[in-house]
Amino acid sequence: MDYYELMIAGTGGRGVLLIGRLLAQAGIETYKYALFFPNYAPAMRGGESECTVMLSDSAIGSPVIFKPACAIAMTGSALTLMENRMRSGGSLIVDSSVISDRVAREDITAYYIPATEKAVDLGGTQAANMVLLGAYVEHTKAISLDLLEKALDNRLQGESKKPILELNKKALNEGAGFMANYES
Amino acid sequence: MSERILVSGNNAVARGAIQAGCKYFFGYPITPQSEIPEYMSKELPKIGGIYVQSESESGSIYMVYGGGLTGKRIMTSTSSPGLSLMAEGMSYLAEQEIPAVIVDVVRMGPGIGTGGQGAQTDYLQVTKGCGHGGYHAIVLAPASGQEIFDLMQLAFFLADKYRGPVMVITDFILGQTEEPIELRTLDFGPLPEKEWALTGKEKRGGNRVTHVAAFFTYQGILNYHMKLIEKYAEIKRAEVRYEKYLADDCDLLIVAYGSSARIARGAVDMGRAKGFKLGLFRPITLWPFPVEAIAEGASKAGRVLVVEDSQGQLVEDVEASVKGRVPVHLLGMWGRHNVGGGGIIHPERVIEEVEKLNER
Repeated sequence: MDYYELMIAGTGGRGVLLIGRLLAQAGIETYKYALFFPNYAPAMRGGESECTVMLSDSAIGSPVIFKPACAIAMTGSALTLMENRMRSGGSLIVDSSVISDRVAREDITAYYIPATEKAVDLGGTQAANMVLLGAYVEHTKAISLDLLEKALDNRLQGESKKPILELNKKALNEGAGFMANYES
Repeated sequence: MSERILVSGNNAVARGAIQAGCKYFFGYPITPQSEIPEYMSKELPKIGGIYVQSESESGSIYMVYGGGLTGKRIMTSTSSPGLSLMAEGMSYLAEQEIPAVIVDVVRMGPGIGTGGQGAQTDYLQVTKGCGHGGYHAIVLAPASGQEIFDLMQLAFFLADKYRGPVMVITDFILGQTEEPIELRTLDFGPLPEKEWALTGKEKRGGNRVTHVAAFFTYQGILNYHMKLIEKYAEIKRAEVRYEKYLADDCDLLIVAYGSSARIARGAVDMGRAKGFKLGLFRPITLWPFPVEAIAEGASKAGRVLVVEDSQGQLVEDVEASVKGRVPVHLLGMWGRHNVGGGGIIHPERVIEEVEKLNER
């Protein structure tokens, strides 16, 4: 049975929910069941944002999970939160351009991706989320990059959106490429 | 297979209503359900329908009342404080036997509560009649995007079949969660003609005046009540709905509805993997309540754990069903992982509770 779960945590405005929704959107092409749950109560830890994505061939039970098998942390406080919560044996993907801390737990594997730096090199800091999503997809092989690109095509239609569409696609591939050659 | 799209639970409410032929929506925005009126305001004019944003929820429910008298499929949606404002009108809808669908996307109460906050704190209000006078509305409690879409269609059918308000209850988690839904049209069978509906002056012979205060009709007060009593008894006989998951072979029966039932289902799988014989009983109709089925399941399992994100409301109906034959435990809102906003009862917490009960 194929089943993937991912939590993404960071600050509102950096595309935390966007990449979660994109993954679920692309995921329904491959999986019978997909789920995206955004939890972004304004009172929560000073405007932080988090979401959960699940992809599965069989019916999904709980839409929320306390100890995810995989997570992406986009800020320092998100790293602390996720490190405390992650299931033993899980993978934690970290934007190391903006988070200087390192994961202390030895029963989870951390992947340090300089996502914001890569995004700036590609032309826009706002694409850091896509670098991280590309890294996640390369790491788990949950879905193909093509499906994510197709989902982006659907979201960003029209001539005016072309530059941002191209930036996002490049960022996805950059993240995937970085993860493919990752050396800890 | 029909088209499959990823939508939020709130969007599934609106799409399910339109699929059922609802063209008239009267409502007022309130978090966390505002995506429903938003979608309706955009889509209904395209199909010749009408969207009216009222001055308040007290206004919406009487627009529903007036619209419902025409026999068309009418709805409103709101969240908890708004439902309280609608309570008077709900009682009038029940009195006059006007079909309508009312959706409550629950936010934490009492009082103003908080919009970006899940909770299941309206159970007592929706199941025991929001308004005065002792009436019942059928209450449907879906637990997934697809079920929201499907039960919205059923809600309109049941409202027409039994002539009265039908409620669909979801919450923050279900409203915001996005899942794929199949845009299918469900057929529940034939319905009686709406001979009572107001059809206007143009159609000679049609109804122009239909309803008067029920108590002043020549049939008499008691006869009026006996008719409603019989109708509610018939609904209890015919419309109880529930779902069981691994419940026929368990030594602890978890009872939960809506989002908590989804969380509990996740917990059943986690628990089974650890060797705990857990099962789930999920009421789909909160009224009529599946009294006999819960009593039977509880007796078979020997003990019950109610999981609900509230102070303990559903547990009252479960206790009344079980009648003290087996112990009934409760994991309520104190099971949340976070004392502030965004607190959630996770499946892992349910398992902790099971482990505690196993040690007793």
